[in-house]
Amino acid sequence: MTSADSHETRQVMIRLEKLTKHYPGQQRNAVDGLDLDINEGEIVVLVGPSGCGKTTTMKMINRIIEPTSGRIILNGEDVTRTDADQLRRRIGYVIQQTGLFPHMTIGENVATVPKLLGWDKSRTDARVDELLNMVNMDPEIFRHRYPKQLSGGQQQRIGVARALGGDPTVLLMDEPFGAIDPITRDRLQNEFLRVQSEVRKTIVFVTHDIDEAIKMGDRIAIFKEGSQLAQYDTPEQILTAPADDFVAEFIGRGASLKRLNLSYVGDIDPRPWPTVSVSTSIAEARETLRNAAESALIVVDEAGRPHSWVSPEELNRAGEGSSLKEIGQTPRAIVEPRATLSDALNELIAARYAVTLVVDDTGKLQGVVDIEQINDSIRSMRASAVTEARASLGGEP
Amino acid sequence: MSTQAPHLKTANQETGVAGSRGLSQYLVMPVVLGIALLALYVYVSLQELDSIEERSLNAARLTRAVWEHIQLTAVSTLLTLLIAIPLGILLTRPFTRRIRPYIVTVLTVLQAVPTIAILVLLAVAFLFLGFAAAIVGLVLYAIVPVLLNTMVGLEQVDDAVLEAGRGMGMSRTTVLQKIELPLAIPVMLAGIRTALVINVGTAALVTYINAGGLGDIIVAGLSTNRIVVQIVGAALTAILALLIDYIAGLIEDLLRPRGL
Repeated sequence: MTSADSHETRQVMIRLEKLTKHYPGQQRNAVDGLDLDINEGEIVVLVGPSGCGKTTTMKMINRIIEPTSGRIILNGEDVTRTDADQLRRRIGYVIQQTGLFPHMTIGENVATVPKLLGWDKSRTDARVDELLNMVNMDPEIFRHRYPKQLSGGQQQRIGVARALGGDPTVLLMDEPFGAIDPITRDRLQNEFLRVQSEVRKTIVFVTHDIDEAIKMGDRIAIFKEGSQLAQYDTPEQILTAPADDFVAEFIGRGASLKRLNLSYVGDIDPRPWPTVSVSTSIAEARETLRNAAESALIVVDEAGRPHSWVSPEELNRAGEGSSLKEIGQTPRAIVEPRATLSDALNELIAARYAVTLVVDDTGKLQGVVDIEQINDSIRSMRASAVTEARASLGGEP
Repeated sequence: MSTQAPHLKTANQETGVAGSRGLSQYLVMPVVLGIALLALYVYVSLQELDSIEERSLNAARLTRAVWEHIQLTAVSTLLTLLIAIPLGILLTRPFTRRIRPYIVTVLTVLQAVPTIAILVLLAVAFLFLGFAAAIVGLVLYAIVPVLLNTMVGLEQVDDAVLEAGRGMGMSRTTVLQKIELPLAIPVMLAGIRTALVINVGTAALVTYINAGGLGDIIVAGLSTNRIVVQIVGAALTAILALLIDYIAGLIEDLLRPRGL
């Protein structure tokens, strides 16, 4: 259970062996004999209720909290007793409250680890600019600003950039997006996944939010109270085959809905919909709609981007001289291929004709997604997850 | 008072300018003090001075008194800083957590004893007089504000900032030098300024143990019942105190880290 079959071929970057933390004066161990393997280049999310030891576990990896017993093996090397300061310079660290140094500029903050590592000025400066660009913060604008001149979301971006300063192989993130409003959090999560697709770090990510865990994690370690590992698996497997009642309860209701966060609009073929160009005459548009099975037309502009919806009533009301440009309703429910099915569903519930328009990167209409397609997608996901769960059952004696 | 300083944030945060006051505001105090000195000079010039008054109010005597006063203030404040700041740093390190409350209590009680009592005690009990005795008395009294503000300044540094520093591989010493002390500076400076003002005021009392300063002039005026002499002594003490406080304010504005 501690390692998913599909990951066995990849190299283990962090191995925790019988890791234990005991705080003096407490009866139970905060972390108790934990074994955990984290593969190179994957995001492992530690999730669980408060007091489950997830944060303690993460902080023992860079020894901000010193383990009482057990071993930490980083890339094959036992680092349980090595110099902690040297170790930490190899491990990026992002915390919820950002912890930016308020008396230093953004540039100085990001340069912290390069300076500790003794890089020369030109290399450090180049690295700072590279990282600021990577987190979408223009170095020319932000390099000389101070943290308090930044919004919460911008500060957290700098927190990530600073953690990547010394180009560490491992990144520890302690509820990095926890204190940020939901809209900004969503954007930061997406941005971070994009950055990760470029840098491919091994990431240990702590959160108490199962939705965030499902979105961010390649694998999720669900902790029970008392630092027991309840399940360690891919989000798909955890949602489909929770190991026990605790996991099922922790995922909560709507596991199927949560699964919609794991597949993307781009994974399914959009359905065609009767479409006319804005330059089409009203009479032609009426003719097209009369021959179609659907109850409205999508009007697209010269570049093929959705321009409006027109209903039969609107076509009838329009005089012969008027153009399609002037009538109809602006479409609201539009998604890109990178949007999740959950986003698409969300859009189409509120949409006029119970479909979501799918556009490509240039905004060109690709087709529509309706509730049937989303439903089919859930059904096939469930089927394949069940097959996978059955296969792993058969593999054990 | 000591905890006020962190809230006194600069008005020009957006542009990152360190100063909280415009240039014209910086000029107000020196101009006022200059006018006060001039008025004092004119006032004394218009008086018919008798021989006793002339013996107290001549340039050589006044310059010496002012210079002694400055020396008393400077040496006592410097010694205070040398003792209180390292002590404050030590008392905020984890390994002194247990003895911290006792030491703070003892020092706070010490501060409740008036300096004049300490001076008299030193003189009567130990026959300890003069400049050195005065310095001991002044330092004992001024340690507490500097120590407490150093501790408050260091303790109010956000734990998340310290954890971030340690988490990126800074040593404890580096964290102290690069993060804790710079962030504690505004509060520490407020304490140092308080100590300076206490010292410049209390130094007027050390004349009683024969340690000089502007107190000499005031006491000379009192013992000979010469109002003009008393006024000159008191006015010079006040002007010197305001001047030193003004300079301390300038230093505070200069040393306050940008970005706070």
